[in-house]
Amino acid sequence: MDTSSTPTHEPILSIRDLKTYFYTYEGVVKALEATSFDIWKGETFGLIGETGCGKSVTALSTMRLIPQPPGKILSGQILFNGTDLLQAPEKTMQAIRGCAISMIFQEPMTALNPVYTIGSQIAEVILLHQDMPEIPQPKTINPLTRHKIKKARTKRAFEKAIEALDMVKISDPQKVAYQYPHELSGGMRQRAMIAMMLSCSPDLLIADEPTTALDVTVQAQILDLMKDLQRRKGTAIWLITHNLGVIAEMCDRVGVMYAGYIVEIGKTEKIFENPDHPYTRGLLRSIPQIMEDRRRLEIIPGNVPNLITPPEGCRFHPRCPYATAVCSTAAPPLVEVEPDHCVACHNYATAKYAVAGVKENHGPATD
Amino acid sequence: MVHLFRKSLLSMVGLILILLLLGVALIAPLLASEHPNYVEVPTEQGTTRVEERWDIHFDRALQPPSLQHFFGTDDYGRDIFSMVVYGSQTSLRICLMVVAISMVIGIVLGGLAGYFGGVIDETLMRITDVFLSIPYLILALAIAAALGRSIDHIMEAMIITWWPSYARLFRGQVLAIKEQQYVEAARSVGASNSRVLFRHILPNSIAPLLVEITLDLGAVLLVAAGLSFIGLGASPGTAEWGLMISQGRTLMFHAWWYVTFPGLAILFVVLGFNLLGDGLRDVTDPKLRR
Amino acid sequence: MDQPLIDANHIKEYFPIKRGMFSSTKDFVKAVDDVTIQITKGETFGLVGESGCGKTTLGRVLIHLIPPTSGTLVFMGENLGEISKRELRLMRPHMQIVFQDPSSSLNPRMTIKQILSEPLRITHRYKGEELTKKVLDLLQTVGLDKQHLYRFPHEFSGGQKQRIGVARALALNPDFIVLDEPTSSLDVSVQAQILNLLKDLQEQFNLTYLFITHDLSVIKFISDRVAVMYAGRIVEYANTQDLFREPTHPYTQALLSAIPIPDPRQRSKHLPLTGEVPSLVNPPPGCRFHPRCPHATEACKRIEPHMKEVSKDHFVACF
Repeated sequence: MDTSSTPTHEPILSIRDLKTYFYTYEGVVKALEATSFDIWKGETFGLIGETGCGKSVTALSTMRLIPQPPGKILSGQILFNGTDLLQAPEKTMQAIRGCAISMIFQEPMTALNPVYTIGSQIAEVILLHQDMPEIPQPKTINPLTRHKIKKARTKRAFEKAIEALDMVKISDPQKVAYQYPHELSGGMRQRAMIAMMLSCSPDLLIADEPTTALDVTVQAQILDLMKDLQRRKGTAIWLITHNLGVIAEMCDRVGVMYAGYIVEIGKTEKIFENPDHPYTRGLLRSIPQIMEDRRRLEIIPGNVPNLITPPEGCRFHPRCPYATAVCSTAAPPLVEVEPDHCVACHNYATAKYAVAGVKENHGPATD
Repeated sequence: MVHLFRKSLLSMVGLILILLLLGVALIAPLLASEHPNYVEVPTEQGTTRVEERWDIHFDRALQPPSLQHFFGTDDYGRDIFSMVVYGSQTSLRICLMVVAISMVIGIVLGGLAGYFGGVIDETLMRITDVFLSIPYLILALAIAAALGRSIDHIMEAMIITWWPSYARLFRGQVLAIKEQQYVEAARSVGASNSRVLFRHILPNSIAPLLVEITLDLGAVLLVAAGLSFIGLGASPGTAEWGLMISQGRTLMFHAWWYVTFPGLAILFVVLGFNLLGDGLRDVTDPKLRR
Repeated sequence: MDQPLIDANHIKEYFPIKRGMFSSTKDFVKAVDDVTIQITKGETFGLVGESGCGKTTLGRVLIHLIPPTSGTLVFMGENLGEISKRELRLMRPHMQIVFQDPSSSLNPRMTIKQILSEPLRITHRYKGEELTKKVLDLLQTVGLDKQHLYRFPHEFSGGQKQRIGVARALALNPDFIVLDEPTSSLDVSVQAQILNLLKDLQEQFNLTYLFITHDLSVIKFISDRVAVMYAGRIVEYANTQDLFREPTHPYTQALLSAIPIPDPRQRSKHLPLTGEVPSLVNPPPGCRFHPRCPHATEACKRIEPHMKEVSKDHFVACF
């Protein structure tokens, strides 16, 4: 790691026992049961898991963007700079979103409004959150002056938008600011989104699968850009992805999620070197690693559980080769196995020393 | 999916109303106390045509609703209840025939246009545009003037002006479904054009059409009643709801029952179709519920 | 095995862009521009490239799902451009395709049994009990079973749906299967299951695969030979080991260095690659990669490079 702003061990975001359910026609989807983790100031924290494990739901809960029917944040605490985001009034949240905490999404085409230019969309964010002291606020109620001030502010915001576009290394930002989202390529749109979300220098940037929809060479560019911006601004990044390679490259610490729980969390090197949770281990062994010689891939038998009727106790136990009786009754707590490395598994000690008995065939596709 | 339908009270109401209509139409002879006669009448072209004729009893004209005559009698002494009941048959026949035939024409032409594209598409669409621009009222007037007034004629007029909207709707669906990967997959295993059209594209495109059709059944009824009301449709003496309203109009203040009951019949049937259609739309639209 | 299973020469696939109803077409999307490729029986040939490079189109052309605009395609010794429609239909069972998105490649209103029966009904005229038995066989081959017969696609997970897609491709006992990004929309652990399945099936049925993907780690795992495509052209191809050990073309090098390595101790430097993938309507003249190439010379801008053999079985199109 060559960042000059090394992460301090002060949490900027603390999530404790977050419980989010979705009430649908088919039943209650217990998306998050008791999710807890911290993100430290200035670090890059990765949240990894497969589809449906709840990583996006966690991010949306933090931003309080869960659609309230059918979703509901039932309990928990999310501390950000001393404020509990789950108790804060909506006005406070609006002030925080885009300013103190920003979020970028997977598909920039749908996250950007197609009928407004890029520049005006970034300017909108700037206008909402920034003060612009160089333009005086009028004390008089003269409508003409007010109009002039408004125009001046909009103009200044647009200039700042162009500066933001330049900061994300878009060539010819002047021209791009006047273009519409559909005129740009996927990579450029994602850069524009990053520009928009970093324009107010937030303390935390949540990136939900920011490069999944992009080509691999463009992905490399975007990831480099994010690292560079973090170095310059000291923003903490919460990176959500299912790609282990991206995690390895970008993140200082990583949390592994399965079926709504954090099953393993800690420093990236430690997790990759000593994965203690059987799921993490299975995950690492199923990637056709580029440096590895060809052999059969190891698989985790079975399928991701249905969150309407999740398994009792540890949600991974039906697929776990080391499951014992306790696993089907009690959900395992997160225990520290070494500094900066916690696992939620009853049997992590025995699993560690057992010979890997994971099946090596393609497995029956049971429901 | 069915359970979603059951959950919507209004859709259930709609369904009940329509079932009621069907029931009444089916057992009309059993339900009504009086029955029409069918006579042959010469037409303007020289052939004969079958028409309804109800018996006339002047002695009991314009009686208010009572136990013998649930809906009262009209100015010719005919039992309005029986006429409304038999009218349900007529109305049902009109609705179903118009919509069914329009649908068939629309699906065939729209399907061919959408599937083959190119010149065929352009030609068929221009033809559709021409028919779309014909106003049904003028056409009905013209046909009535030339060939005389009858229910068959207004049905013809309506079919001619109704099928274009189905053609367009279906063509749009076909265009969308055509690009789906499972259509490409079917071709890759060797399916012929007709197989792809009938087995893959048709079943998947028909859903929005079904909703449209249900709503249209109500609309057709209103149009038909309206045309009869202004004298273009059913010949006088037939028990047709629109015609009855027209005839009762002048007597509205002496005999409110003459206008009211046929009017209520139209109201509930159209309401039933609309509620049913809305319910179907909610059920088939994946974005609204899930 | 001397004669290649597929011998495609100078394949071009241009899609005309029509402007309006009656105007003549002036522009073409040159999706595949002069590609020559041979695939031998029993091998897995990998085709890599980013979005918009034409690999999906090439895959479809190689099984004649889309007829090529020009060029010859010889499959099992038969020139597919010269045979009649009926003969083409006879050849079709031997070349099948598995699609990328399992959700849209299965007809949502058909049961699994109907989906798998369809190819059998069309070509082999199976009926009744024989048909059901064959469908059950197929399901079991891909790891599903009897209880899945009468269900609909939306009741299955992504991995299971893709298995059904594979079963459909196997239904006609093909010799050659094009796999168009079969695992791109699946989770990592499901991907592993499917890849293992594909390998087993290849051994069991002596299949030849064309594996199209943008994921280089998957290609490394599953292919014998790999071709890298860029803007409608193949820029490099070789045996898998050779390509990854000595990537010669600058694009291949950039591509390989861009892949995130799942090992936190090896945080490699990405080779800088600026710019965007070129439009296929007006590709750059000469070598299509020259605007982004760090080693571009004057010659690169004017002349298209030919394939040169740099080492045994390793070909590159670069000066």
